[in-house]
Amino acid sequence: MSTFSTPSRPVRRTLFFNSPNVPKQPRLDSAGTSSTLSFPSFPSMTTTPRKHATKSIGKPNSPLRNDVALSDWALTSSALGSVNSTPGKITKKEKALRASAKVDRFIPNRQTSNTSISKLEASESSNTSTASSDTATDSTQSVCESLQYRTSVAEACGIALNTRILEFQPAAPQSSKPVDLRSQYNRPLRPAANAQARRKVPTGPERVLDAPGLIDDYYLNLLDWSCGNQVAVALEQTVYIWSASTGSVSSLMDSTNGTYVSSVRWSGDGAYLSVGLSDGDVQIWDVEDQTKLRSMSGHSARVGVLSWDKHMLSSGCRDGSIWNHDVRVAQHKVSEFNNHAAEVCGLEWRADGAQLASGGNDNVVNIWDARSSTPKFTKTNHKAAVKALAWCPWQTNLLASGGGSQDKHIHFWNSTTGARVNSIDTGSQVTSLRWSSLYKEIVSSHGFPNNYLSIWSYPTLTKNVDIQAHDSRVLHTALSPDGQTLATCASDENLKFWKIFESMGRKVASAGSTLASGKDMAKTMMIR
Amino acid sequence: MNMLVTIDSEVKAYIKKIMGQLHKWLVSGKISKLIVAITSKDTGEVVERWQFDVQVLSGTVSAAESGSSESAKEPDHSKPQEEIQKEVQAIIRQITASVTFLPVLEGRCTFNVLVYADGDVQAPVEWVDSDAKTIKNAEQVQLRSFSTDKHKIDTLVAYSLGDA
Repeated sequence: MSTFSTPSRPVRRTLFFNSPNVPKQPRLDSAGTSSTLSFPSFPSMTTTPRKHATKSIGKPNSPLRNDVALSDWALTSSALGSVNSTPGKITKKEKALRASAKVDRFIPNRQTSNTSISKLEASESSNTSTASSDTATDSTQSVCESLQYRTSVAEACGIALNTRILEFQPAAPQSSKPVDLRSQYNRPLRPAANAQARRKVPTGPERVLDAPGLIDDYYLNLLDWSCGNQVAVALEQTVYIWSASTGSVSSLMDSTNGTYVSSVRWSGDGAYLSVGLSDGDVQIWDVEDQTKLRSMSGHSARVGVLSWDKHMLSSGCRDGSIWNHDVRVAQHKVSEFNNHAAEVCGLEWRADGAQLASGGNDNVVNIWDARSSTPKFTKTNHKAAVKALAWCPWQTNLLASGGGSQDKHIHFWNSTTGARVNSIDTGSQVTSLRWSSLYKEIVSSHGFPNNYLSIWSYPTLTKNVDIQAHDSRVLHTALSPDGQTLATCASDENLKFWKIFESMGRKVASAGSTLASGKDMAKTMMIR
Repeated sequence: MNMLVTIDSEVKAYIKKIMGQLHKWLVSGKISKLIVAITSKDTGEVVERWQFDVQVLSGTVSAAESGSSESAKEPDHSKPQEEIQKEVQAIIRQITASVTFLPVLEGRCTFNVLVYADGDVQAPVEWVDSDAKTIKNAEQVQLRSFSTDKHKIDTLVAYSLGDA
């Protein structure tokens, strides 16, 4: 009964179904079935204001079916009064007579059936009854009667009596985030490198220097950065030394007329610079004194690449030969590696000096054992010249090699077994490769079309970032001794410095451990 | 098989409100069915309909009439709690496992809670009369039942197989 005392608007509209005189209706608690629902009575058409009727019928949230059920239910009480508007116009007395005449409750007599049907039809529009004071006997009889036609109507309509279907009206809250079940059921085995996991890499250069006269030749190696923090760059006939610590530039040497410098390479201790010339000469210069220590001639063509292993200097020549020079002795040439059919443009000793990797214009990668003059492995997977070669600093036997403009691939090799362990199709000529010593990453420099620097995570091989570095193809790169900064020079005659492996305060000491003091190194590495 | 629990505080509050009212009704034995209808947001069609039939066991009805609070304390012939919990666990396990045969819900969905209540029930404002939200040409699967001293719950899931 509580709803009756505090009826709120929507409930009232639903439950009380156009009964303006509800409050006047007496309660019939004696009937036992009375409730808030049993009250609605159906005033005759004449007494009901038309407004009420249309309002409740047209309401969207009280379906027609419910109204039927409701009115059905309401018949309990409506029948208590005299049924004035039933087709038969039965008076109160007649009705009482009829009710008493009924004996078998399972077979309602014809009159009752008629009434029930007509009630159903009429329930939508109007019905009768006003509040009237019946006797107790009268009401119980009519309850009996109403039960009968209620059941018959309910059977006909397939509605369960005495039940209501209630719905919790407020809509369920919406999910604030978009729900994608695929992420639940289709989880990747290995989480992809998402934006959060990816390292933030500055994409602008730290510093740009002019490099006028830089020869645009893929097969040369004209840039190197020493462990003493000096950058050597060869511009045509001249080798310049740019000190990253002080920012001062000095010209180290000029080649004689008609020749040009085709390669430069710092020795491991950073004191000496080896210079390869286009006439096949290999020179060693003391940078501190700016004097030439010795000249090691013998190559028949230009020396495009050089690589140091302690006191051993290997030189790659245009004729495909690789000579190993012991720079300490007069007879400098100690061995010769011959397995390239075309110009050698990539040459790299492993950090421990046990193996030498070489790449040539014959699209071949050779891995040499230092003690043998026949290659340990010869790899022919690349489809273009192999200039980019790099040994992994944290996994000794891992070699990365990048192919030229027809190949565009980076291959990763296990130099112990000779197996290719990974490959990347970069979509562009690979001009150089540098492993990071601070991160498990490798940076590749590229030519046409975008002249990118690309940073790849290894071994996931996900691309971390592309940096549009130069206006034309990046020819040479070199890593700073602390491993944080990459120097690149391109045929647009710019020398740029990129702090792509910024250490964020970690690992710097270990990276500079080969130097006298890691702390000092970090300080001196500030490029001015 | 994972059972997922919502961590959305809004959903939790929503369900808590429903459960509060359900508790009152269940204690007094006023409802006979609880329906959770999963409706597609795009089409408004009911795609899944979970029906829990509540049978109030005979002893309780009289107790509920005399006073619902007293009915809760009748130690006679009570079912051990572990057994009840086991039965409930079995149902939950079965419901969780039903993802294997229920069709995948496409698109965004919402849910409605319905109850089949007695005619004389007192309903708060939030509860309004509704249709049964049945599914046409539904496949029906009867799941396990469980019972306590007071109630017996039957579980039934209905779903449409779509075009298939």
